[in-house]
Amino acid sequence: MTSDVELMLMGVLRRGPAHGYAIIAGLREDSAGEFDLAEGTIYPALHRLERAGLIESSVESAQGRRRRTYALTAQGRKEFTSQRRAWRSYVANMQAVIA
Amino acid sequence: MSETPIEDYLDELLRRTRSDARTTRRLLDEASDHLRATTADLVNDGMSRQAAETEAVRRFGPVAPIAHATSRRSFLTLVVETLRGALFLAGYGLVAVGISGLVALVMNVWAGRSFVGGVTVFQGQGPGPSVQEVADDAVVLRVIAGFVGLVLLLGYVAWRRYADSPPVLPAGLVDALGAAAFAAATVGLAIVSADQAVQTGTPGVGFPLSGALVALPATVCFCARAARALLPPPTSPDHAT
Repeated sequence: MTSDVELMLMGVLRRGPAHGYAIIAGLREDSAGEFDLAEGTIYPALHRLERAGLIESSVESAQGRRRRTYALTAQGRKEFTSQRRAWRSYVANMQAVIA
Repeated sequence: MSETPIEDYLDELLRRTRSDARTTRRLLDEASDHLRATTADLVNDGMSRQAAETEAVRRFGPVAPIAHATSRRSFLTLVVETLRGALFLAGYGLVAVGISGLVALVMNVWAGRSFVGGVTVFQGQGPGPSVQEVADDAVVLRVIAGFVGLVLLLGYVAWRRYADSPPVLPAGLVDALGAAAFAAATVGLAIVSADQAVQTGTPGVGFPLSGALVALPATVCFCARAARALLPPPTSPDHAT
């Protein structure tokens, strides 16, 4: 079971590999600035996801800098799809109740 | 305002993070890269470098929640690690007791049983055990303790091998505790030996002395282990300049 932040991180990564800085930018952009997290908090979450085997990372060198890039694993993709389904069902049920 | 906000932030993150070396190093690498990328973007947007660094640190967020989220220490892991350290020290201590039994055996053979068995602690308490009984017990009971210690050490090794986890206790802590315990035993037993020698001459001196003779090298051994864990390695001449 992943947290909401971890689910959002997987949501950004489902579009393709990205490093931390790009992930936080993607998160902000996708939520139209609504999810403006303290940027540093994504790294422990990324590390947890990697330990769980849901994402994997590799180090790349670009413009003289080494950057760690994260990508969803097959297991992560499956987990994301399953959790997205559960989340949508929850939202639909909530909406039905409070509408 | 700090002149080096990013450096100050990374220093604080390093100080507060309680995780294994690899996770800590990786977090610092990523934090550094992220903060410098944010700074570069803000400088490109026209901000001064120092203001950009301060803003990058603000956006990255306070150190405490990040350090806390990275921490792999929990009360349970701390208890487990402490128990494992205690198992190691107890095993080592009992093995040392066993070796002191063998030293007592050598003393019995070379210096006679009264050197170990002629203890005076039973004087004034009615008839105590005979010299021979004390001398033999000093060997047999201690050697049995040594075997128990060996079993504990084997358990410790198996635990390390099959259920290893990132270290959560500070490096060198268990070794420093071991060094302190053995040093105290060395000093205490040496004082008792000297006191025995002054009061009764050689009879009974071997009883505490055999322990002190084993506790001393064990102290040296634990000091070396603690120093290796706590002190920085010497710089090789090739890397000195």
